Amino acid sequence: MRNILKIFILFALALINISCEDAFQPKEEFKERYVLYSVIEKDNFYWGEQYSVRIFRSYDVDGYDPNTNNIDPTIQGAEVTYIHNNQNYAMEQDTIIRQDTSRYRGPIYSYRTKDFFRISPKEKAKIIAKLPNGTILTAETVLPNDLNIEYSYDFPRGLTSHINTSTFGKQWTVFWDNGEQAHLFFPRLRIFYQKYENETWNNYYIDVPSTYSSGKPVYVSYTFDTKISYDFSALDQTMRDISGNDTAKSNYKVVNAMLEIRDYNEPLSKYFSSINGSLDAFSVRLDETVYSNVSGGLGVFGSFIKNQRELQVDLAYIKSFGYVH
Amino acid sequence: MRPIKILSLLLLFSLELLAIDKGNIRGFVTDSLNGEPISYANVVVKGTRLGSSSDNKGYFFIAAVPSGKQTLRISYLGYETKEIEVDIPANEILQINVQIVKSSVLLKELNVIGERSAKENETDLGLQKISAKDIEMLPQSVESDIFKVLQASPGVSSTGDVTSRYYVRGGGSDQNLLLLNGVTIYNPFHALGIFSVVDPEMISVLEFYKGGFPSEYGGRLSSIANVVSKDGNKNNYSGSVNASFISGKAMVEGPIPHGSFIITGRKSYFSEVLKNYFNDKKVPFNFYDLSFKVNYSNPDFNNGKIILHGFISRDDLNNNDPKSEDYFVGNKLFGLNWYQIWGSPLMSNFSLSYSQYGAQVFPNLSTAKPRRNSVDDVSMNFDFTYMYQSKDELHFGLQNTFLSTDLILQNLYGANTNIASNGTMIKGYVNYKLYRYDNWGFDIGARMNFFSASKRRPFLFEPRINIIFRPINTLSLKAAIGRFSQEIVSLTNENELISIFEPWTIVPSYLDPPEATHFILGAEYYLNESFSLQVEGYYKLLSSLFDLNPRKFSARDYDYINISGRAYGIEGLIKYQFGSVYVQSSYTLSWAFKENRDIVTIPRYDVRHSINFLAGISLGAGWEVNSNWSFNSGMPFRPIAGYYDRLMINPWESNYLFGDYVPVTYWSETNNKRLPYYHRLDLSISKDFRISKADVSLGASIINVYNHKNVFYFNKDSGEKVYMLPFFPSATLKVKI
Repeated sequence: MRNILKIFILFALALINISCEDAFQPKEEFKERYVLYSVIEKDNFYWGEQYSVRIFRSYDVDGYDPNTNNIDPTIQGAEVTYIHNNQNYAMEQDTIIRQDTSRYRGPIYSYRTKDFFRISPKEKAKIIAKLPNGTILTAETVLPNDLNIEYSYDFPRGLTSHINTSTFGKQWTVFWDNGEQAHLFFPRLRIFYQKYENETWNNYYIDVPSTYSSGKPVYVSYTFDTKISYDFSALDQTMRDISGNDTAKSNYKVVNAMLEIRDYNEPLSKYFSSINGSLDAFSVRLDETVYSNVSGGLGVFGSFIKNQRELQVDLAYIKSFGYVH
Repeated sequence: MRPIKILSLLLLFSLELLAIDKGNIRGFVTDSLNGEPISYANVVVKGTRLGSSSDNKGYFFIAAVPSGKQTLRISYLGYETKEIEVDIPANEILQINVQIVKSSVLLKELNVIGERSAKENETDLGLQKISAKDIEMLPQSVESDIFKVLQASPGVSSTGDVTSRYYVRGGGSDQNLLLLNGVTIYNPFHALGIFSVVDPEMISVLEFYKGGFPSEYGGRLSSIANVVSKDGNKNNYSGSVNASFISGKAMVEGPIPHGSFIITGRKSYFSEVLKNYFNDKKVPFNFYDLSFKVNYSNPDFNNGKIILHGFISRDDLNNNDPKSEDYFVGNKLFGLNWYQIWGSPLMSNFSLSYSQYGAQVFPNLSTAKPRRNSVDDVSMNFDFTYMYQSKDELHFGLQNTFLSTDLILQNLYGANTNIASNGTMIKGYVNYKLYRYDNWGFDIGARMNFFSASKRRPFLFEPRINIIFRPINTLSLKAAIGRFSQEIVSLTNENELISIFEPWTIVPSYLDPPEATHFILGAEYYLNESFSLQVEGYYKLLSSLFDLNPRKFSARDYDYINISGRAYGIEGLIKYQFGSVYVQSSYTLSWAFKENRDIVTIPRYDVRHSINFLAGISLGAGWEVNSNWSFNSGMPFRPIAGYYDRLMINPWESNYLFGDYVPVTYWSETNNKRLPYYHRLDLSISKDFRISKADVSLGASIINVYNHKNVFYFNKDSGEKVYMLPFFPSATLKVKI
């Protein structure tokens, strides 16, 4: 009996031993890598601008939580050149005050062109960054083309749902085209209004959803499509939401509406899509493939254009809600 | 005209060998209780070396038996051996149908090895015949599963406990063909791949070819799993219910005039258990499957049999939340078979089938990408088997398939794919099996793709050769070489351990169809009924394989690219039985590689060492205990090379560059490290007994008895390790009336 007990104890100890987790290190030996970011932002009015670049190094931490790193990984002392129309623009190091100091305390370092200059749609720009250790990062980008915007209905007296829906449909559709493919668009229709409070008119705005689903507003966050439709019923609901349950409707003044479509160029579209999209929530993927157009490292050099169209709101339509103009 | 001439010559050749004082025996071996065909039963003529094994329809044929009185000995594991006297007329075929009796449920011994096949020189390299008993022996997690049985075979690997997806001898998972009564099942998984859609309750036998498969099979590069479902009870009406932690099953079967029917169904009712399998604990699964089979064999048909069968499965994942995606995947499959045994020793099989597969991800208002895939497969096959007096066999046939696939999806870069493709495939095959010599067996054949769905290679020729040599009675040496092609591929991301969407598409016109060449050498030592040893080595060359184009950034970029690969390894399997104890042990040493533009990578399913140890004991009085211990090299994985700050973009802000940055992982090269060794012990115990007229089976299993923390993967965002199944008990109850 004693032998059986011994065997049982040995067996149990063996099981306990092999049930332990084996040593395992999911990291390989750390080697420094580099990341470059630059985004050209333009609106309809092509003013001259200064352009910025930020460059980082990769880092390692004890454990697996990179948030524990509090050493700013920004690379200083690089030679960065902006190239546009065969002109080289040397960039100089710049600092701005860091607002969020929860991770890094010092200023934010970047590289900025000394001169103001203008890059037009369809034009190419290039960045060459020579890091202090001799590593060279390069990236190119082409600005999006001008956007041609058309509407399913032109609203001669301004935005309204009071149109013949049997002829023009129950939706207002905005179409756009820039002759390019693989661009991501961010459309937004915003109504600006004022509310009379404390003897003054204060400015507010409200975004119009494209539709309502199960009583909840649906806003199109981004699309590869070249159109967006707004239900007239969604426009009506948005107009009602301006005042909500407030019975003093005359305290509200609808000013105008603004349609804005942000057009990301191809690299920025792919970068944004790869870091924000998900194929689904249930598949288990072991790695991720984030887009990069930076040669010699990771990151993105992208651009986008803000296309804005101011729209009037039909006076009769405004008044139908009890608001003023 | 040439094929007809060759065929005529072959048939004449056989007549020359017809001995005057000899006759032939043919017939079916069936279960005495329910009339189910018994596959692979041995039928031997006592006192001679003549004999055969029944095929997967229970059919056997023994040629050139000396005429006059003879004794036939029919045996099969789990059944009582039967001897019958027959009087064989000269120059004629004696038709004899044999019913054998199952061993008593309570008194039966664990009998797994059984007799050696009576067809000693059968060229069956790479073939594993899996019976319902083999499936029962493996301790189950929540559902007994045929794919788990396959994964326990040497040369077959998986990427984790939580998936039934299997990889055969270094080939990808889409290189495995699953057939149900000869019809392709495109989605063989329930619940994101956790277990097979094929309910073990409906299986009569499973034939699993790990390579070098004969020319009647094709369309995949690595393996063929052919499930033959039960016919149904021909004598009495009966039914069974079966309950596990996740699903309920029911089966009814019974006789019809000149035939029988069987209907099985399974429905999930409790998805809580599945939370053990997923990191995401909110998995609102719902699945079901339903199968039926009706067979009819009117005596006026003269040994003809008509079978109508069908199978439907569907998985839904409904979040009931407009901000989350929903998902469905399903199969529909119908088939009609007409088997006919003609006056001459010729058997034919005509089959007409339709297999449909559909899958869709509905993004609703989530950030998930919309995806949709469908496959429609209409096939019409004519297969013939001619058995010569010399024991040689000639197999030939024509297989026609019309395929249509439709694939619409968007990848993470927002690039769209829209591939609608269809094609007609007409394939012919011929296979001559030379069994006339006692110590040699040759299987020489070829598969010709006269019309291919692939646009780039409209004609494909696939020669196949299998050889067996028995220098001594207890030792068989085997060799096989063959070429294989595949014309429909699955867009599988190997880095998805669990995948919600694995679409199929016909090989696009801009790429060559995948092809493989198998070289296999093997030896089998069969000492006696208690001990056998098998060793097989293989080398597999893979060309024009498919991989996702990692640089598909826009709709105009190709979805796939061609890559190449190779795999090689050696497998050993020992089976030993003493008394009521059965032991099976296997070891595999293997390598697998993929090559793309001179960059060689190791796929995730490359398992260098694999050991499997299965043991069972029958304690008598209906008690049975089984255990399985697995030990594998860790899976390759892509390690962390460091971290970096990633620019996040809030699209409606300005000055993105000075906005948010999130620290993320900087990944190293693909699969250049391995996870720790994997090992796990599973135990099961079952008790069979009778209550009134009901056969009751009560079972309990424990997965991962010593709770070893096997790493499944590590979270790419946090580095946190995610483990495979922990200590996990489960129970099943089966009642059959």
